[in-house]
Amino acid sequence: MAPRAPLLHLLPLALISCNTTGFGAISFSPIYSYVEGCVPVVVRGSGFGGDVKVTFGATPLEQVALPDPATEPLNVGYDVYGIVPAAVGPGYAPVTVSSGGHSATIKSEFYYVACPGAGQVDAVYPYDGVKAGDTVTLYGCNLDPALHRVSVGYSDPVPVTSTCRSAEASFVAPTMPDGTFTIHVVDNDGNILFPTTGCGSDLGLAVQNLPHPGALVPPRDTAPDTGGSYCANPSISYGE
Amino acid sequence: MLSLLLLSAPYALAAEAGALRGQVLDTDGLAVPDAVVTLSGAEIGGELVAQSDGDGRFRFLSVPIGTHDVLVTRPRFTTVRTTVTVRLGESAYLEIELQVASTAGAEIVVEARRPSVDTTSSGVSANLSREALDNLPTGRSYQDAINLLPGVYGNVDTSEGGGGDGNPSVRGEGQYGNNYFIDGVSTRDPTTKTFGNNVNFDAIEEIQVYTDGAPAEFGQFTGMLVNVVTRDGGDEHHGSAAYYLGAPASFRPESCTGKSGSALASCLDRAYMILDPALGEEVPSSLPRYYDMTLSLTAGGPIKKETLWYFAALDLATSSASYPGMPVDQPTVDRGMMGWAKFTWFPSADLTVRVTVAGSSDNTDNSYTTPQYAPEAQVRSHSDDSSARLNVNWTPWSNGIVEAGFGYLQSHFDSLPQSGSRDLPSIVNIDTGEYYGNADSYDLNQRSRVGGELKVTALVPKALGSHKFKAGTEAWVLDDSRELIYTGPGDGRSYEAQPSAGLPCTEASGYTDCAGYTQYDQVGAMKHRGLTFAAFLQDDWQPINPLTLNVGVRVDRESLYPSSDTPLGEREPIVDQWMPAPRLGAAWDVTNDSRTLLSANWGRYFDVNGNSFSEWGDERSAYSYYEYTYDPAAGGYVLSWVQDSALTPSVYDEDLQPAHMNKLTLVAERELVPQLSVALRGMTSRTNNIPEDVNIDDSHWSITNPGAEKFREYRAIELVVERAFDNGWQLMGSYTLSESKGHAPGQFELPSGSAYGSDGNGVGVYLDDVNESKDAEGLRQEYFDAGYGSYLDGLAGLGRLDDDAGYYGYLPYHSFHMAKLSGSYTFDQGTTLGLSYMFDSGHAWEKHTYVPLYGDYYGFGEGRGTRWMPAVHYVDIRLAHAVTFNEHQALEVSVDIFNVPNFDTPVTYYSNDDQNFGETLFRQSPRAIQAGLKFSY
Repeated sequence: MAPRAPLLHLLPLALISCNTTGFGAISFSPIYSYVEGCVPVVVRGSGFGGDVKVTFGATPLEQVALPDPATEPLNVGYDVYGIVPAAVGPGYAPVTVSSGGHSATIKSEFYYVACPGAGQVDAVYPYDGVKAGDTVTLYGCNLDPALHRVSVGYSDPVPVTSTCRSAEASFVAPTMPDGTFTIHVVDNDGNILFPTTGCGSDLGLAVQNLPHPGALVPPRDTAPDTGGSYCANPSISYGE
Repeated sequence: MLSLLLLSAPYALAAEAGALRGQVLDTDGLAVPDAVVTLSGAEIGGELVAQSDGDGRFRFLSVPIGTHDVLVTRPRFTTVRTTVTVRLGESAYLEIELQVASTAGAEIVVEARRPSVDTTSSGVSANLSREALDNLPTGRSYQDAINLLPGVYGNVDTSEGGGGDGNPSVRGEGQYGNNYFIDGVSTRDPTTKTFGNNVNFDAIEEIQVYTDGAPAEFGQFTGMLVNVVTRDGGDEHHGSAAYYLGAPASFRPESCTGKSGSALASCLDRAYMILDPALGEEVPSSLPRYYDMTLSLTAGGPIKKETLWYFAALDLATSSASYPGMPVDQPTVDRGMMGWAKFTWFPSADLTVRVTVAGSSDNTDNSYTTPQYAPEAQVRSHSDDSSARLNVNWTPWSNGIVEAGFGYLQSHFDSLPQSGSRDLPSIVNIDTGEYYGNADSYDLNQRSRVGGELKVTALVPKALGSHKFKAGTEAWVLDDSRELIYTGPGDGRSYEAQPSAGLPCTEASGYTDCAGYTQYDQVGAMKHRGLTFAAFLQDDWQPINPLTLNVGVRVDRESLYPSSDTPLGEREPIVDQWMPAPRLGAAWDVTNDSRTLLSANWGRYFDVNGNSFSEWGDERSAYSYYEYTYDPAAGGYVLSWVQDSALTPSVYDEDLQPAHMNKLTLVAERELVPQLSVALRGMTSRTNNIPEDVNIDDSHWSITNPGAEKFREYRAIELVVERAFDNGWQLMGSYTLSESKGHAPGQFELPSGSAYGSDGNGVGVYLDDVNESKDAEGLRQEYFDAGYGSYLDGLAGLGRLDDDAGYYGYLPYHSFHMAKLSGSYTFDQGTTLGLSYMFDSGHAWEKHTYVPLYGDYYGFGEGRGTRWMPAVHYVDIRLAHAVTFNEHQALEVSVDIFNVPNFDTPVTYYSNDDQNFGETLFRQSPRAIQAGLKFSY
């Protein structure tokens, strides 16, 4: 057997060969969306060049954007932004990132969730300081302009316009007095499709039913910001 | 054949000593047998005598460290006088040349030569002598002084990279992986595994640090072993009285308001720029204004010459610091005292007994240094410790030594409401974030360590070469206790005020007009116990003269008992681990003159888990409370959150393996000229079986070794040049090229005093629990389908070891290059100039993403260690001038300047992924000055 080089001679070579900033696709957030997609996502890693490409399943990330060196210099090369594409159906989708001839895939992390019902709304923007005539955007799933309209509090239903498949839609805020009003998604007959329950659900204690992660601090109830109240139903506030 | 050790009078066997061997030759290079070699001097109470054998060789098995007089006599040969310096744990070598005497009684005085290469050891250690501690710029503590040594990094808190408590680390093993000895007896803190004892700086004789290849005698560390040897006293009375004053000296502008154009640019360039969290950007910040004063006294000498010595030290210190934003009448004031007393007794020629008692007490008022806390909500920090040590050295036979050491150390660390009130509640103003009313708790911590060790050394000269066998055992009982006593009415309650919502939270209303309150459970004291036991056997075997084989094995055992309502004597240990550790090394004296060394060493090293490791298995938690929120609809407070008071404790895997390190060390060292040596070292290590809390099913969590192996690795090449102190000057230079990569920087590092949880990914061993469960995909799918997907956000890429790159990367303790240069020169007229320079190429850091499931920034969004801090330079100088009145009395004036160029390089960037990401959180400590006046006799 040929004599092996002394270890001391190999160590410098081993150290020289280490790279300081290599390519690596590491994480993304959020890690789920409805099947329709349309959710803004940031993919993080290192070594991302101008040619970076991202796919969810086999579908490319939409509206890909890179950090602006003028305003986000620290993120250049580390982040890529985009909009989650639609999926064929619910379940896990592998996410593949490639740049500069390197490629990495993260499997079983991103999950497409089936829409739980018709006219589902998770978030609203803007949610306060709204005036009549403002454009308000709804984020959720199964929002179909042909089948659904929106009423604000006790207002007459107003039509919605799709802005991203059936996951995002907008409407023009009707005239209402100052105050906070729940947004309802109704069908063409005026029947309320969403939400179907009132406010006051005991969200805090309900979290206790989750499997306890045994981590530093169990997850807190992070109710969506709907104008400062603890109500989980989507709402908007008129006035200052 | 080696000579026997002859004793002629009581002499000092240092608790930690060195050895001396050598050869007597004539001018033709032939061996001179039957030459009598006598050692004497201030460090030796009496004389040590040995006789050369047929090969002219002689050996002293145990020699006190220091410089000794050597007298070599042989009839018909000229008497030779010289000196030799023996360093801690080192086998020094001395070659004597005798001339045939032309006249009776002829004598030659040979210039002293200090042997600088120990060619019998394959380990890597470094010593800081008293001359180094006196003449080099240091912060007057052993913890700071060891930052001068090759590869040691301790200028900042290495777990977060910011200006912190400066616990040193080495070889990528973190600040919790070191063992600390005083006079050969461990003083390590049972809970934090950092140092447990301070030592009066002027009481230190020498500091030895083992970084690689330590023999089986030493264990329970994967970083370094620090052994502080204290002074003994002596047959001459001596002492000192010194006063030191420290203050800042950076002269940086505190504000650039009103400036514009080039004046503004110049001002910003000189200002100390630091993150303002409210603004989300760096702004000129005022620096703390402070002063600190220390009075240091020492005295030592004989109570009865050659029979009983004493040494005592006392330090009284006070400091006052005003931090930016704090009211000027609310400075942080620290007052402390530290005392040390040691008695050395020689009851007979072959027995030495040392007794040391020490204690310290420290109080800090206004411990909170941000204006977020109103004066009445301030906290007083109190710490104290008391310790006693007994060392016995006995030579029952001429070729053997018995060493016994016993130690007791108890310490307290308390945070106390400065108001002194238990009934007043702590209130937080939700609108402003200010805390007022009172501090929220008494936090009482106690630690203790009781135990000792017994070692036997035997020299066996003729058994296939010579052997120096050493065997021993040590055992410790380690206890800690933590108690949180919450302040406020109703047995512990704190409140939230929200004036903007019409909820001012007033005492007048009986606190019925608050936004909410938290009712705490007073759990009482939570006590843990750890038992450690170790045994070792080692042999330094010289089959042929220039080759020494260092062979040994060590076994450690650790048993940990959690806090519980079950009486301690009836509790079962939740961790009970055996840790067998072989150590193998070979050292070759290439030129057979103790000047050239080639060595190789392979060893396995374990570290104990520490008492805080058992907190995960506690039946109780110190953080147990109920939160109530004001509900206008209900017209009162409603329960909004419950932090379980009886958590299901984590389960420790029955097969939990202790973390261990395997390390290979290679050394080539050569004494170029007397006193000056150069060494080239290479080391590579891998630490495995780092434990983690991993979900094994939906109902409870397991502490286990992760399925896919989790590890960290360290590789380095190190060049060291050292010129020992002699003839008024000394020099030490080193360059370390290294790499520290892995999945976890520490070994289950829990923060000091924590009752629950780790520091998370930044420091500890915090993998993604959900992803490590047996059915990770299924469990996460449950979260998604139940509508709780938002809790998992940020988890992608966190961590399954087998398919995720996020966790593996450059660790927080990693930097590629470290260079150090330190030295001092004493001029003939009594002026000494000392210099210390350190270069670090910059530590790795990364962006931390928010993970709602854990409620904090624990995600490695872009992977570990993908970004780099800038390179940092540290330059310190010391200038001292001594006026000598007579042979024994002198007055020294000194000035130490730290960060002479006043560099302000960032050492920590804000790493959480929010609007403050990338802003500077900490910079190098600004220039500071320490002036001193010292009288010695």
